Amino acid sequence: MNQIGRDQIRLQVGFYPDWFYKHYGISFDKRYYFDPETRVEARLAIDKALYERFGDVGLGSAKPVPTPTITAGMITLPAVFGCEIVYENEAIPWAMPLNLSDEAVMKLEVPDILNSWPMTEWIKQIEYLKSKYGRVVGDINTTGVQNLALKLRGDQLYIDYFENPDLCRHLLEVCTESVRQMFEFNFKATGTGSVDVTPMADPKLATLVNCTIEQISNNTYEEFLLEYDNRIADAFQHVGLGVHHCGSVDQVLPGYAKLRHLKFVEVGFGSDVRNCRDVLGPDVAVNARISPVLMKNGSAGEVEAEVKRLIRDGAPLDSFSIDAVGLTYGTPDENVKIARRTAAEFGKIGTN
Amino acid sequence: MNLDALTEAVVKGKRKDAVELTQQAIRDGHDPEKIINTYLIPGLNRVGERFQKREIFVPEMMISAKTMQACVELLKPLIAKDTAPALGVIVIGTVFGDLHDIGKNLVKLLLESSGFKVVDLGENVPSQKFVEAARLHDASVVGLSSLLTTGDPYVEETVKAIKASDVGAKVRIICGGAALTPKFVEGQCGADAYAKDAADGVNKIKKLLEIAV
Repeated sequence: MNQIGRDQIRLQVGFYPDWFYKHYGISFDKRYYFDPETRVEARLAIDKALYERFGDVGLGSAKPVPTPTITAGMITLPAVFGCEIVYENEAIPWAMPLNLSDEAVMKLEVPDILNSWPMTEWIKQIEYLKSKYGRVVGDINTTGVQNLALKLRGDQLYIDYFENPDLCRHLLEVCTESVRQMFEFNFKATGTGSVDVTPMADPKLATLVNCTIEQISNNTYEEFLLEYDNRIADAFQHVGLGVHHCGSVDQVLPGYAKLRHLKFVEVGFGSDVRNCRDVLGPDVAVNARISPVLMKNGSAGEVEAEVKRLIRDGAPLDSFSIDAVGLTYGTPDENVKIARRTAAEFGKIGTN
Repeated sequence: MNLDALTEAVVKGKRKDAVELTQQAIRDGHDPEKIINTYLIPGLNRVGERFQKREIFVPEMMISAKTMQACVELLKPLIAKDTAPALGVIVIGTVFGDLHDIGKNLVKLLLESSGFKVVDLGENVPSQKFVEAARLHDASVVGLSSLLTTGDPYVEETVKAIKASDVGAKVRIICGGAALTPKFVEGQCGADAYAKDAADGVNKIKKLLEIAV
């Protein structure tokens, strides 16, 4: 063991709700989110199922214990602003865009988040779980500045970047302050700011959800969003900033390198991991994601090769991890096992 | 008047400049069809190429397509109906179980800018709705979008439902989205084409319909 307490890199897997629903009948409908006891039971069933299926590669638990968890998915702030939320048995909850008009956007103000649905519901659940179990694990997903702006304005935001920058700035201001208040709530309520985003970040970081930044250029990021992400970074500099990024991070790396107090970046498949490590430096932990398409449709040999490639490109390994999330029904068990085994065998910390 | 500036305005997404240049070209008596075919379409094609090379991203692509659309709207009434290009009807939607829309919306915008009529079925669309819409609108092509691998069975189901229906012999099917691969789309599902991204989708649709790219 070394000073970080591990002798190999972490490689986690995460299954999409349809995998649990179709294999085990575990539902992720509205009840999962709105009834904390249903969620505790579901988490027990998940741990048990994973152990039975993948216990030989270290997943799940032979004797699972109840975990009092708060989780909402990426819908809370959109719902507070009025987005319709769609719940399904076998999917993550989804906020439908509001597609607000110019006038409606310019009238937007930061809502009274803590006294709005569904925050009122989450607050009740946190109190319930704390009183019954003495603790609560997790936090409310804050979403990210552009993610939230897109839910409110729709795709028109991308046209606004060119034709209505004043509207953009007003909208992004409102979104940033809303996200900041959500982080503030999380740190007071549960002490974490990353758990509902990714299991790979230090839970204590304030991790921004930048799924949609993959769709814009670095120029747009630096001109419109960097300032707001840095505002979050400064507000939580005592814990540090994390960024979750879907898809390739390559084009916005110059912008991310300008983020203050950055401690962690999660990059999607297709990213140049070596370049990411070089640009951000060894003090910024990186989690690289494996494509769920490869995990589902690729051969075990292809998965093994991808894990080895990421390990080769990801050094120094004491601040590098890998995960394969969004694994849907039909993903071969063997691909999950080979990914875990390859990381255990080739991801030894201190060997490169 | 040098209309190369119009092409550049489309490439750079300068909607106001492009509209003024188009209005000037109309006043100067330029042939509306020639303006579209010689200056606007090549501009949008260049934008598509830059998008595929990741030199530009979704907002740049959208503003260029909107720029082109604004110009075409000015020119359309000037083109005699009997000579107006009728490129065909494309029915598009995101497959059942998937609520993502940005890729599908981008394809729609590019197709409309290129002169197609687009029937957008939205997201989470069951297979039979694609069949019914293809029949109702006499579609030339049906386009399926799928971001998540949860959509794989629904992509396959939809392709097979269309192929087995009364419109199956006539309509061509194209599928795209992050979850899909050419092997799955063309090999396993039996669709006519796979699209790597929105720009590729428009090019492939033109090829399926034997329209010059």
